[in-house]
Amino acid sequence: MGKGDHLGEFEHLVMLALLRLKATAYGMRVRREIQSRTERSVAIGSVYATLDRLEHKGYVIASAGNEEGGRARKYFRLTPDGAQTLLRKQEAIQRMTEGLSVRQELEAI
Amino acid sequence: MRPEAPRVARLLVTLAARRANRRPVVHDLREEFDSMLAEGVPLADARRWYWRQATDSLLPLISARQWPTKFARDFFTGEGGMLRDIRVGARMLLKRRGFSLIVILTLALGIGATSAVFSLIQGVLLTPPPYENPDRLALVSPEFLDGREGRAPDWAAEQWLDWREESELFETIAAYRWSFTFVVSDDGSESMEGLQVTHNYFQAIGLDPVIGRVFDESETGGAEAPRAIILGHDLWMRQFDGDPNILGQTLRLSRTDTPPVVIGVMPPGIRFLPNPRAAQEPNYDVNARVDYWVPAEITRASDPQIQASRSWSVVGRLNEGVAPVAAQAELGRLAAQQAQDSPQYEGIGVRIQPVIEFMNSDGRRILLPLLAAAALVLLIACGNAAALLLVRGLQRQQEYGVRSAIGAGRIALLRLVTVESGLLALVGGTLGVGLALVIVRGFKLVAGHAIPRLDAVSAGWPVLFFGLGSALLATVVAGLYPALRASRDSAAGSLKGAGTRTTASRRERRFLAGVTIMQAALTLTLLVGAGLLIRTMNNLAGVESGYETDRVLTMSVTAVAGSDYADFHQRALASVSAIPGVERAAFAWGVPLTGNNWPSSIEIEDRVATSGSNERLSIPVRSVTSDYFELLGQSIVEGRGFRSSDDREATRVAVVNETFVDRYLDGSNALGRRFNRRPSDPPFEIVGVVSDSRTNDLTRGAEPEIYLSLWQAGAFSKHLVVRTAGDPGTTGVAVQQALRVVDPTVAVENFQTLDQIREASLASRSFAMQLLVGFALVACVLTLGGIYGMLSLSVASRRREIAIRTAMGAEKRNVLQLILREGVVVIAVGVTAGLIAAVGLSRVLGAFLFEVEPTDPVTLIVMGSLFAAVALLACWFPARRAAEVDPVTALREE
Repeated sequence: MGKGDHLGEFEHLVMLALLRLKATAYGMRVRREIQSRTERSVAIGSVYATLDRLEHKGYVIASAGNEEGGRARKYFRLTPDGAQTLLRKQEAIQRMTEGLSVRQELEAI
Repeated sequence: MRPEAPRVARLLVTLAARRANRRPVVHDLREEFDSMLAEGVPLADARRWYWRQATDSLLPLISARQWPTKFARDFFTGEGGMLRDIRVGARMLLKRRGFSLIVILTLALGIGATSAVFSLIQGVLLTPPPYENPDRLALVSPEFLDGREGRAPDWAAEQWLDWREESELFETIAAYRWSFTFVVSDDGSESMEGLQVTHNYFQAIGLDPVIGRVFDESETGGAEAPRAIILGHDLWMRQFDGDPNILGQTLRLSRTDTPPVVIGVMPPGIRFLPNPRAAQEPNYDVNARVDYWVPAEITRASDPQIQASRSWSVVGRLNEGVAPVAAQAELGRLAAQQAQDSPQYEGIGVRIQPVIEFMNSDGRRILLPLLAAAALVLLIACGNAAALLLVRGLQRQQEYGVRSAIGAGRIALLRLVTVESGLLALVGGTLGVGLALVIVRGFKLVAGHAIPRLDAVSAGWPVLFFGLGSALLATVVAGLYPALRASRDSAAGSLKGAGTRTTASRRERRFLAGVTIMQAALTLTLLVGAGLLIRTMNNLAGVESGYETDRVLTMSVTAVAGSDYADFHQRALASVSAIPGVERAAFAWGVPLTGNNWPSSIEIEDRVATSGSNERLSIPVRSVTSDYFELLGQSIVEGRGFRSSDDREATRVAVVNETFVDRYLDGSNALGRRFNRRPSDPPFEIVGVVSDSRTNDLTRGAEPEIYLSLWQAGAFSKHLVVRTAGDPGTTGVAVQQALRVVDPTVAVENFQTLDQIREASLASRSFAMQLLVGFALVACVLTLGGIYGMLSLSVASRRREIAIRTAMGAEKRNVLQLILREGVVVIAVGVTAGLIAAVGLSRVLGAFLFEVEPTDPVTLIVMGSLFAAVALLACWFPARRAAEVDPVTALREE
């Protein structure tokens, strides 16, 4: 993995959410997705800040969506670069957890 | 109507987010908010959710903004960034709500008090009066060369006419005298007070009119020129609604044949020049604004007798760079020359006082002791806050150790602690400034008339900085100390369970004890001061004034229409006496505690004074009608009072008081003795002696007094004094109507009961007492809190020691004594130091005290004992807690 590939935990979650939501990903939906699946409270500001950071890194791209009754919505989706980084991260985790059952190990401690 | 999302929260988010994110974020929040409501979530819960989202989002949104430099970005938003510290700090403070509240309130009290006084000082002493270059203005006052007491007579016109021509050190010299008139109207006339001034007066003072012009020379010489008048701003707004067409109109005034023409209006806020002699009068209103100015018509061509009339005050504008001393010497020389030519001016010297100095000495008298008291309170408050933070910090040693061992280490810890302290100081300071505003407003309401320029005071920026500065200093220093100590210990040592110092060492406890002693000492000084003033007010309440003040209504009455004096007043008395509920009525010029009288110089016939020749005595003269003495409860001890037959056609009579007889008539045979006010006038014969009373000042004993009959010595403006059967306040309207029946243009103003007048004469003392009592109570509360805290910490720190002692056989009683002893020592040393300091500092109160010495032993003992007793009570609770320490659990914890 290259140097600029570091992905923070929350950044990772956001990107995964983008993956899930596909074309319909905008701020609030990402927030709700992460909150419901990870059961931790997520602030909308953190989501937007993270999306900004990811955009700066080139992993995510924003586009203005269709205006519904005057509301400008910002939609986000992964870039090819972003998808690559996500894939690499997944693989790394997979390799680290290969053969491990974290739950079993916990009970042993 | 669609329910609104919380607007403030939305605003915060809008401000925090960078431009591109603003609308999306707000819209997203809105969408979720709406869908929650649609799902049936209660509005309150939805709003709470919105707020939570908003506050949680602030930090991320701000850190996503564009920062000017990387350094700024890191400093504020980085891992150990300032914003994070603020957030963490705020959360920590909110968790310990009780502790934070106490520190904040302590600081608010201390800062509020000092900031209030600071802004008063700034307003009174530091803001210059509205004249141009006021530092060059000087009052020229007469004083007795032989240093004798009493009022030296005012200047005569020929004197200042001379100075104006001869003086080289003064740019201009102007003269003025206080003047009083009525605007006549058929609906009841109204009084105005103002000044009669020379034409160069405004030039000397440095004032320009707002509209119109000032007097020119033609208006101040000879009576042919139409009289002109300049109005004061407040009068112009009050009576004429600020109408600029007032220029050129005439005013119908009392006692003037030709109505004067209004030629100008002065700017707002012009007060009378300080009048050193008038300032001693009890009801002197330093803030009174000048209603009008009229030109003085005196020149060298005027009647010599008028030129010699000594009724003027003089003010001058010094030339650039001239020292007052030099000017004093110059005028003194001129005055001495005048005295050689005209012996009546002998013995009177010139005193030059810069106007600014004089204006400030009034306020300084009251404000500086106040500043001292407030500073004491601030010291105590900061001491308390510091002690609290110190204790808290010591209890957090372990937490500090952990923080400094991980992350950014020492710097991050210190910054966190500083931020916490800073937040406390900020909130406490802000509350304190708010409190200061309230205090200043209250002060203005109560003491407004006694301190010059008070109404121009408002709490300003200097106050804010001063308050916050003190708070920050105290809290940051106190907060840093434990943090520094913790970060100095090795990280390993702090993390281990053993060796954790969650308590204070002996050295620290001794420091705390020292702080508490200082607080106790300061509190004592305030308590003693308060006690002395309480005794003063008590003494004053019980003083025998010599007259009865209950159920007496007074008002000033003036017949302005020029009707026959005796006729009007006799009919007025008859009309008022006829009102049901009125027991007695009298006219009087010289009602007690009003300061009204005619200062006169009299010569008693056949009297050989101690100096050998028959000297003229300076005695205040008053004028009354026959029922006056009985109305006030004074008795005629010899001879008789006044009768209605003592009028213009009869012999001139007078009534003197006992002190007059004692001092000047050898204590006996007053009746039949005669005196005159002017050598050329027929003498007055003493026909009665009235009992003594404290007419001028409740704090001074009786002084020699002379009373004349109103029918012989009529006063233009005088008081109508009425004793009522019931509440005097309710009779006012009836009396006014009765007077209007006699003459519709009569001016009836200034309704006050004699009780109110009496209270007003004591107002500044009474106010000082209330203030000092307030300060003392606040200081007490703070110090008692400090004692309690100090002992609590001691108990916590000595648990092990106590446990061992108990295990070794000490009884509860012994443990109690052990802890109490610590408290007793602190209290004893504090009280002693405080009493000693009080003896020294109470001198400051000297002028306020009455029949009580500043070193009054009774007050010292009472306050000392009182405080010690209550303080011991504060020690009781921690001591009892110590006695209940279970040795087993205590030792196991170690």
